[in-house]
Amino acid sequence: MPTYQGQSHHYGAGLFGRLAKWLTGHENGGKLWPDTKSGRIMWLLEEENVLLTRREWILGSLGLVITPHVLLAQQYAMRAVQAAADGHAVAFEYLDGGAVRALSALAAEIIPSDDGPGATEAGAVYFIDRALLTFDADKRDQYKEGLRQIEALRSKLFPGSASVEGLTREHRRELIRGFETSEFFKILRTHVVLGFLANPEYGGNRGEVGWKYINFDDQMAFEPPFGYYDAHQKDEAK
Amino acid sequence: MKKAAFRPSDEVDFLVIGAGASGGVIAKELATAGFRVVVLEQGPYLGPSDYSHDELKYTIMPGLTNDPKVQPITYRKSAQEPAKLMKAIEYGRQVGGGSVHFTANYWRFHESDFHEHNLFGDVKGASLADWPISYQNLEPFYTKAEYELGISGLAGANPFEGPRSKPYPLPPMPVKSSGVLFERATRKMGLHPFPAPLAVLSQPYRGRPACVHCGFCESFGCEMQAKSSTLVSVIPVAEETGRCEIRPNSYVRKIEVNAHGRVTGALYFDQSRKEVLQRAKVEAICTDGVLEATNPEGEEFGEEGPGRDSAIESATLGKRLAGSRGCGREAVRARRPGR
Repeated sequence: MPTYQGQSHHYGAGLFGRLAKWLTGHENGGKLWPDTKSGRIMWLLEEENVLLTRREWILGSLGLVITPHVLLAQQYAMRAVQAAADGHAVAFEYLDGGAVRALSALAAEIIPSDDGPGATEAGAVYFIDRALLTFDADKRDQYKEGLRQIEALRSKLFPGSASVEGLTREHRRELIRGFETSEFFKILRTHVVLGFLANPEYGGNRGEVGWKYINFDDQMAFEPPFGYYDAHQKDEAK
Repeated sequence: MKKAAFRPSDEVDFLVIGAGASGGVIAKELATAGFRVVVLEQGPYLGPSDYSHDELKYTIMPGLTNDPKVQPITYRKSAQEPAKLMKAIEYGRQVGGGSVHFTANYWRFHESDFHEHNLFGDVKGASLADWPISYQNLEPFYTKAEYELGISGLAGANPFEGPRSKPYPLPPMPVKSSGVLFERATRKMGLHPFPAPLAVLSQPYRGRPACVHCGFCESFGCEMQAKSSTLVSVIPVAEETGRCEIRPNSYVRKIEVNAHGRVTGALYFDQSRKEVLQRAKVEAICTDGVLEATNPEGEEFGEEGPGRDSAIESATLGKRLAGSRGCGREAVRARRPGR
């Protein structure tokens, strides 16, 4: 059996366990493994030593004849698992402490936490860290140079200040206005937005706060009626 | 039945280049007619369990399409000119091609599309041409495709459509809330709204389940197999004959011809980037039209190679179709040996 670093959760008795039993036919249900290495949620079926990702778990037990009801139930169960796993700590692997603090302060102005969760709650900077390790590794130099120029601009605009995160929010915004037309700002803004809204597997959008904020319903299946007007079409025709 | 596996030295009857919207259909037609077929596809062979609703992977990153960082597209007018980097044209890069990630709008051409030059004459800056075939010639094949792939729609609802011999095999997809408003507004404007024909199953069909309305069609592969790509419709039929081998991760670089200019095979890079020559009697180029016209070596398609005219025709048709985001951008035609 592969060993995974991470806390395991037993869902033997609750709704999830019952669903797991019903879907898999396994008496013990199984174990959840938030795999910190890949950032994916793994569902371990103990009796078969099978590791499944969330998606595989949702789809894996399906034959060709399925109904949206079954899918919805599975999603509900999996959502519970996800919520339990969201608490696990993640370490930065590319960005150093100074960069993390500066980027966190800037990200918190790009998507503030004023009227709901923002870049901070979503962990957008964790997303940036993962991006620079993987699919956007070719943007590392732009980050290095961008952060260098931001520090220079900060010293110029606010002599005597020590760090971006040490500035007042008003000053941080003034700082951003000083480089918001730069190529680096475009990259940073894109990354922060992605870190707010992309699939949580990428390190941001923690606890799906971005999706909840924009009312995005992460469901696999929907049934008609889909909204107000198609639901009331017949009533209105009367 | 055991899946076919040919050796590169086997001279197969047909070599199909590209396992997409057209390649999948051609492979199925040839294999069920008794021919031995190899389909070379530059992308991977994925299945429904490989797909997800990951917007970062499929809409920001090229999850199912060509990656311009890895495969830059260049252009030059002659072999002497240095190649210039072009804005990359996106195409489906996997078994099933663009039919896997397309929005699934599935339209027939209008009758008038076949004789636009006749209708409009010479238009400055355009290259309108009349087709040698008409809508009536194609109608039986439109119907055949709609049934073999699985298209949902409401026959007769589109007042501009040419006559059809059969209704759609599946009823239209349900109209959503926004669609109801759209219908009302456009009707008030004197227009003719109707449910669009879609390559999405509104009901279970030929062993595949109905759509569950997740909303992730464009840019995404369908986890339910409800989007009627060639991957889940005709390609399995081709493979079941035991005469068709789909060979993924095979990037064709050159059409080989003999001293008489007759096709003998195709040279491709396999998964380990090793060059392989697959021998064949006839080849069907089923790639994105743009790829043919901008072939890196020029000599095969670009200048005086065996496919020059059809490459131009294909690129023209490709652009024509790209606007409709519909039926697959490829031109479908079999290459005659030694034309």
